[in-house]
Amino acid sequence: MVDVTDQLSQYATRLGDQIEPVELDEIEAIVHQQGNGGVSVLNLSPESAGSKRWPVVLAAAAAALVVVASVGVFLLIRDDDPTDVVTTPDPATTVTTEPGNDVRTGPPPSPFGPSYGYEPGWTELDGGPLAPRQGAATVWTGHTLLVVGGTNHTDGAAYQPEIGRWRPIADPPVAVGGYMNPSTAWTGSEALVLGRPSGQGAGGQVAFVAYDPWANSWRRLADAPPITSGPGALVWTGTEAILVGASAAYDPATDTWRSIDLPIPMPGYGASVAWTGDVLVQAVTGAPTVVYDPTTDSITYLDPPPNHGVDIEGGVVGGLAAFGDVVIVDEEGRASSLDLGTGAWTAEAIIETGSDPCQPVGYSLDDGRSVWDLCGRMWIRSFEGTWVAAGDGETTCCMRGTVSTGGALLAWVSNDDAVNDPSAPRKALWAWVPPEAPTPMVVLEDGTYEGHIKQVTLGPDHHVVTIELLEFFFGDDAAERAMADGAIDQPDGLPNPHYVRSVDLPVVLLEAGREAEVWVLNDTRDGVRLAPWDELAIDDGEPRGQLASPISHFPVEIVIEDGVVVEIRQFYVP
Amino acid sequence: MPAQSQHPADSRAADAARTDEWDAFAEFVAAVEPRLRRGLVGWCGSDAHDATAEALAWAWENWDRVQDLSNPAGYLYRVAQSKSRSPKQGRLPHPGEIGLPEVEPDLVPALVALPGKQRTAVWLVHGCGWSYAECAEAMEISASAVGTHVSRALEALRRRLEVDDG
Repeated sequence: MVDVTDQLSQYATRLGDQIEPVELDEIEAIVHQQGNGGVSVLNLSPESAGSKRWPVVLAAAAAALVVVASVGVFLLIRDDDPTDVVTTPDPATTVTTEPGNDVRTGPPPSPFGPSYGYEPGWTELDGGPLAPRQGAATVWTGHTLLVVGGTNHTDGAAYQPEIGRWRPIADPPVAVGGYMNPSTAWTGSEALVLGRPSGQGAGGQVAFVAYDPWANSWRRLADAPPITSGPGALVWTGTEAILVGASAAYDPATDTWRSIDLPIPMPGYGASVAWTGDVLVQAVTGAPTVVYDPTTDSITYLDPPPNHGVDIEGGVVGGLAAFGDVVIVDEEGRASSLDLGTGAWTAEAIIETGSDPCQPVGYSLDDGRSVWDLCGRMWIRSFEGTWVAAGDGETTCCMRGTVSTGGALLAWVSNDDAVNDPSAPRKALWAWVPPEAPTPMVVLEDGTYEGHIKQVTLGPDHHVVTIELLEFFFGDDAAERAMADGAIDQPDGLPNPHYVRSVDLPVVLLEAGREAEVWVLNDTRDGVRLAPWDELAIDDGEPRGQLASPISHFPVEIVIEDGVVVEIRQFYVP
Repeated sequence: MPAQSQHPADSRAADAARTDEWDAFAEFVAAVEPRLRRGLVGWCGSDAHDATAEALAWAWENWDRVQDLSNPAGYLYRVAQSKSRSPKQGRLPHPGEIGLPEVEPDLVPALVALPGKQRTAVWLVHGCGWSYAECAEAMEISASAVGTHVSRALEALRRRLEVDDG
């Protein structure tokens, strides 16, 4: 009989033992390296560590009272400042909740990717140990940026933005990189990297290798078929790596390549592809759009992207990014989006005019926006299709190996070609962080929900309430539920006469109408009673009542009608 | 940084005090580091060494406060995580890769398939032997919620591995 807990213990113990212990001198070195300013830790202090702990007890004679004026940003009281925020927002998460809540999310999946505390815009970081070079292969592994190979170099290094440090990695068994466009893919456990082509142009087989960051080791894979057009672009589908330009797909499970029915793109346009999660889209202006479904190995042809009134002959290089829809930006800054449901393109905007043509590259962010790099001129597209300029940075995008962490871009910029780049040899690592994103809201089915108020943001048209969805149980029901959940072993095992159950991925943002009613527990001489918020309003500089608990400890029922919060009622937890 | 004496004539005493503090911190590291490293490896895989080092460096810089914490491992787990809000799971190797052929090969995919909170809770409690209180501190939830997540995680693991040891 397998004992799951014993197996888990064995596995965790062995895995922990595989990690080199941290020595004191290493800690000392980090402290010295970071100076007296120390390691900044977001919103953490030991004093606040327990501030979110359950249970929340609203004592009837609550001693710690919060003066209304200090939290007077609440609904119905002040709605004049759209930027008022009560607390720092948590990273929002949506997806599903307990049965019965049909949570329909806004466009973006979540949680958001990390931005590592960098300020919006470009920040230069440590360029790392590698010598300047061109065409290094770059991969984002979820925690680490890998930079390896490139023209005239074989070595590589890994940068971990969480701690801001580089470390060398093992050399690959073949020369890799040397491409101008993405030729790498991350499978979730390994980085797939194309070998460097021998000589110029198309030709023979291409070496193909995989790097395992866990083991810091490489392994040689089955050679890729010849790339007959473009530099080759790898697109990871979740099970296979499609090699655009070779019409082939690699299956890591079998270490084999199969030929696929994907048209060879026009020369030089190999990178203009996007993976939507289901299909691969290949588009250039002036040519039919190709939609390839790898599960059926079938092709659908759609109209070419719009030409924005410009007479375009032949393809124009563009970048594509996918995030539920597909967007193309051509080299003249003309942006268009494709609705895969209808197969129709929409001309969105001409985001740049008069600039030197360059090849835009698009990256998806986890908050639903995409960011576009037009040779260092950054543009952000909201999910709704609004384009906003987001500043300039390094202007030699072609020398970049850029990855998206989901919340930021990391760009390793390097060149050793002093003939064409007077500033060479050079290398630098840059981080780019977008301006603060609007957080998506969730629409819950009409009804009453329970939870903790986390934040209230007041807007000009509506308010936004951030709530941690919870379930509260009292009395016998509490013990019964806690027993059923395995939280306690004995019916009398609850430390308090209530039981609070988390809902999976509980933090949601809800729209609240400007006329939403708010009822709070008002602590008066006569005891605690539920009162309309405006009874507590400030009168002649003095509050007429006091909240029975701080806003951050605010168990509430929230009533939703027509998808909008219409009432918030604080309630008492014994 | 821990408090230092400002009196110029008393530098030797200050040095001695700092040495004492460092010795105490060394004892703290010896006790906490293995548990923290093992806890973090379930979250960030091979990056656990760096994450542990970073959290312990923070602990030294905030030693005045950290030495009074009741659940330092749990708290430093959060410190390590707060350096990155990355939700992404570090790679967990196949048991055979780390010399554990007797461990069910499906354990890893079953673990990875768990919702994040369940995975963290069951890893810390049953994988690392943390108490519910320590785990609650690390996850910023109540001990009873830890119990809920652990219970659900074990149920899912047993179902996935098609065993009944509970």
